[in-house]
Amino acid sequence: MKTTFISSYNTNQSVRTHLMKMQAELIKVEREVVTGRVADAGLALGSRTGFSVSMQRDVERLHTIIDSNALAGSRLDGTQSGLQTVADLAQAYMVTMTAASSGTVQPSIAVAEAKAAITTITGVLNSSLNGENLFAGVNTDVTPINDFFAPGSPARTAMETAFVTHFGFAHTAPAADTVDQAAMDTFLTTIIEPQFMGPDWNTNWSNATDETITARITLNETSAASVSANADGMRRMMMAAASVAVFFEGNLNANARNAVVEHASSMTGQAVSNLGQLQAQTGIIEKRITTASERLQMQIDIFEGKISDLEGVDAYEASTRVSTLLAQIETAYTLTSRIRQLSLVRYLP
Amino acid sequence: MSLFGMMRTGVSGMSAQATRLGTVADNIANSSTTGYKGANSQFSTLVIPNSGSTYASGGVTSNVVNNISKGGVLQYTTSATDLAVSGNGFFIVQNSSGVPLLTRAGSFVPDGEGRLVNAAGYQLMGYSYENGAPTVTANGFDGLVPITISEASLVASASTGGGLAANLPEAATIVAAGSLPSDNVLASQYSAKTSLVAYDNLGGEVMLDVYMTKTAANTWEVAVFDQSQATPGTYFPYGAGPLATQTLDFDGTTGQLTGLSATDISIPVPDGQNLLLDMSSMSQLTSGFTLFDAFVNGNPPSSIEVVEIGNDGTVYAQYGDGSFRALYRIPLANVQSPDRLQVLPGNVFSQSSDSGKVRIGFPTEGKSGSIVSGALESSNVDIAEELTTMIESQRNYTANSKVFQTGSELMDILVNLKR
Amino acid sequence: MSLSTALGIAQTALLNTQRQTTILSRNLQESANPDYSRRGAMLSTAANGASIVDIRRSTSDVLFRQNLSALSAWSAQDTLLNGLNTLDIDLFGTDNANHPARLLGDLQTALQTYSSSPSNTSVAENAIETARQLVSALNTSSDAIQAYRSNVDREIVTTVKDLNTLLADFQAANNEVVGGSKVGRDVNDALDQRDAILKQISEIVPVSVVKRANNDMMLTTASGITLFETVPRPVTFTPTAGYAAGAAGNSIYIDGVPLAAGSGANTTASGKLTALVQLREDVAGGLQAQLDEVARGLITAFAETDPTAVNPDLAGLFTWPGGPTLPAAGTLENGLAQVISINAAYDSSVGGNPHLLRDGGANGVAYVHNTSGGTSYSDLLLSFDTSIGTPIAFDASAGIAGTISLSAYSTESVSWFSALRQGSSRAADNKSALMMRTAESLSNVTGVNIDEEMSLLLDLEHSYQASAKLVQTVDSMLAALLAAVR
Repeated sequence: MKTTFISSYNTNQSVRTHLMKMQAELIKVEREVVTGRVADAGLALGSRTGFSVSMQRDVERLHTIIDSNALAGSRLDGTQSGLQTVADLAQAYMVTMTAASSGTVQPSIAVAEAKAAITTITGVLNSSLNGENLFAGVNTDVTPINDFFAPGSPARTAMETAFVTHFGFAHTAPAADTVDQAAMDTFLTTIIEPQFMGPDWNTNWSNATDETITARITLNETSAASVSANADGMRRMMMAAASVAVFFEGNLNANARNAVVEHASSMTGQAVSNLGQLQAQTGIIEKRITTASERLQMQIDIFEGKISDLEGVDAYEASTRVSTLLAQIETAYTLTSRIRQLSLVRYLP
Repeated sequence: MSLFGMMRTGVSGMSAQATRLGTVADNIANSSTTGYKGANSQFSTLVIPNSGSTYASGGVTSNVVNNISKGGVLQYTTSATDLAVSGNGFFIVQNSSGVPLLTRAGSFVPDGEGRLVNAAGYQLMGYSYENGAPTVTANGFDGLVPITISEASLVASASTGGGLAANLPEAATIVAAGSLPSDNVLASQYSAKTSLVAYDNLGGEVMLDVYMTKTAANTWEVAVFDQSQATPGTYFPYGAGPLATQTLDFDGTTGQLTGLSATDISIPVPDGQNLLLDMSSMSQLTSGFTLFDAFVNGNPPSSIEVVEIGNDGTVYAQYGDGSFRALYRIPLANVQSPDRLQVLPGNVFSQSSDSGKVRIGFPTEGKSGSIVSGALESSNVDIAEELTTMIESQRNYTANSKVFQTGSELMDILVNLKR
Repeated sequence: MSLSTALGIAQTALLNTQRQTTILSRNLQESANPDYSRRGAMLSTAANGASIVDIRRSTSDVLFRQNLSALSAWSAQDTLLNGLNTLDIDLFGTDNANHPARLLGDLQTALQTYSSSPSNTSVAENAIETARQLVSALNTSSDAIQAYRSNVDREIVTTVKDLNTLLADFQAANNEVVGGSKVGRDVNDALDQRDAILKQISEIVPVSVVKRANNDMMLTTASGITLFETVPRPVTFTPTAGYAAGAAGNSIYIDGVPLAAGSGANTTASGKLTALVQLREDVAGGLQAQLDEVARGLITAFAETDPTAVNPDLAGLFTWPGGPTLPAAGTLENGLAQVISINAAYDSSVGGNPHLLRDGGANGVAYVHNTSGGTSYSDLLLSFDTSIGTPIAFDASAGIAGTISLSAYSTESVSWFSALRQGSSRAADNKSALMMRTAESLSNVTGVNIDEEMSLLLDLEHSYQASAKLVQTVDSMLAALLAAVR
């Protein structure tokens, strides 16, 4: 009959199995101490693993959006400074026009001023960043504004042809002297103005699209992130400069020229107002993007905090567990050697 | 009174002690003989009728009695065919000429023909199981045959009975008629299945597939198929219809079989006997299909591997498949007065008119005792007793010789009176 | 009583002590064998001295059965957990780094970068490359799953072979036990052997034991399928040579009855075989179905639309052999993850144009969104990002039901698998603890305690000394008697 309730096999085996478990646990905790994350996230989180993966994914996306926002921001910075240049030019041109209407300015000076304005505006609108033309709308790989001074420039040709068609003679012809102020004004308002404000602009002047670049600025928010050269302010300013540059060079009499100057003044005035609006809009978008980036950064911080809540391991707690485990394993070793000693065989002769 | 008479008395005393020394010598010589029963000399007086004044000395006669009823110490051995009787009975043996005798010497070993013979060459007798369980012939040796274990023999027995006890799951889906196992179609469905090994007449294994199918609430169909007819892979349809089908009706409240339900199924084993499978312990409760017991009798053909002898005297042969078969049963014989049995050479006894008639019974059943396999009964002689008897006899003999010597000297004196 | 009787009894006593010592030394020898049950010699008093009537084996049927069922449960759970861990590392890498959910995130990031500079061809190429990685992950994962299923089949074949061998061994041991029991022979070694085999069998299938006359055993599975009755029942399994997604594998048949698979993280499976079937069908099959659904979601999310809404939507960046038609909405398309590919029209390495992703039109001009041809057109790119986040209907048969976004579906799939792994790991801890516990309890009842045996040895030593002393005494008494005979 068996009288004892513990077998020798068990006495030795139980320490051994527990030792094995503790060693496996030790390896896990050691890794957690080093990485600061749970050793096997999937195992630790279970059904919440998807949440963690989703947040890590979002953090990466948010970082990318912040990067792309910075890109959009620098594009808008460039745009803003370009707009400022055009606006400043408009102010100066306005002064010149006012002076010209009072007759204190030589027509040739007005023409020079106008040509300079065209060059500047063209330069600004054709500026590029990162190989992308800033004011080209979505058509960033082409120069938005054609060179007005190039031989056979379609814009210039269109204006001159329109004059011929309307009056029956070229503005450089001697007969041009006969055009009175009212006729010239009508011509500028009904023929030339639609060339700039209507679809002809895209044929003669601009290769830019009205459509501007759209950018995702947060996970679910998009915004226009550029200004097109087709904006009304640009067109008007260009018209103000171009009409002076073209028609002052012809044989128009003073009255007709006056009509040109007056029309140009009015156009410049509207352009200044349009550009101001455009600058404000751009400023708002810039502000939006900056705020969005800040918000995204906050979101990243929150997400990372949550990920750390989910997967993180308290380094202090983990290292305490390491030392506890080490102590336990040492105890187990001691125990094993003590159990070895504990046998009747040792005491029998 | 006469001196001669006294001398004769002394002589009779000496001869009686000589007889006694003879038994002592015999006993000491056989003190290690298995199953030897010590001889014992008993004396009785011979008295001559005497008148009141004279005494004519008589004599002593000796009578040798064997202590047959006194058991010896059992000594355990490692041979299964070493047998000892624990109790009063005797093994029945026969000599080469077929005379039945009794013995306690059980050191049997198989001889060249497989018969169990002891050290003296006597063959052990028993009843054969050839014609079913043997019955004993109480007062004669009829029906006894020498126990012969031929290792080459093959035996088989067909299955005739069995039992199946299981719980059938109450929650099982009812299978519609037309796709029951008994319909034997490819689409046959069943609720539970088990299989049993049965043996045909020649001992061939026949695997029986037992399908249990719920056909209606509290009604189950049991269908038994021969697995060798099964279609490989799907089992259904079998090459031949079910061997037997039966319907079990359960009581919905107790889960046990109703009183009117069938409780068994008779399965005609192919090339075999009718196998009556008892199913009276089936139940239908909400637990899953659980098998409690399943068994079928019968043996496949196989040769003898080991011979074992139980304490009830049954000689079992163990066959190659592990199954057991009783070949013989060793009876034990007894007589009214065992001590008066006639002693014959070779530790055997035969019945005599003094001992009474032989009565035969099976071990453990009557008063004959039981058979111990792997043990031998040692001689019942005690050396110390024999030695003390010998010393005593020696002194008695000397005393008797002194009587004779005294008579002889007195005779001398008498003869010398006449000069 | 006589001196001879005394001598005989002393002799028997010596024999008994010797046999007891034999048994004891056997106990000591086997003290480290977990399958050995301690033997004890049972003495009984006979008329002429004690004799050993029985060698008893310490057993506990209840604990043994508990141990068997704990062993089955643990074996199944362990198999399941190992399978899940293998799949996890094989398919998704450490911390799910290769999981389609992560790669989908990478694709979204690449699209974001692309949308912020749409004219840049290298970021366009990068977006296509990221998409290619996603496709490649889906393809290789699917192939790996199907290869894994084949591997499981091979493992089942080996295990079934083991089981058949074990059942044959069981038959030999059982025959020995039954044979010996019928004549009262010492069958303890055979019983030990049979119990050890039974433990091994219960690791493969859950065993329920029916005890019959003469220590005979009939084995059934927990669900009542006959495993062994006089002779072993055949366990058969035909492996599937190569697996196609969605195709169910073959069942394992025991005695012609199919073995049901386990289910759940804390698996209902018991024994290795049922757990293997669960891995092959539920786990690997479920994963495959989810990957297929992710693939379908991708094809749908990146489908090309006609801006004028005249023509039907057709496969865009991601396509499949059935393309350009889209796979049926809300229905699992088996094996889609295996065959999903990048549309050649977008692939610059075969002459495609990655900017089609920005402009549309892979299926003809009717599908061009960027009608102005502006190279910084980003609306279509942004719309893809939106459609990844737009809820679509997923097939409930893949394990994750409902109308959710592709992005959410992919992370749900991570959760589904991790939850399975976590539940399985916890259950494995529990079941392993229970298995250890029952094994300890059983070993405490049946195992050998060396100290006990040593103290018993002291008893035997004393007993032997006393018997020897008796023989010596009888001898000197007889010597005295013989000296008296002159």
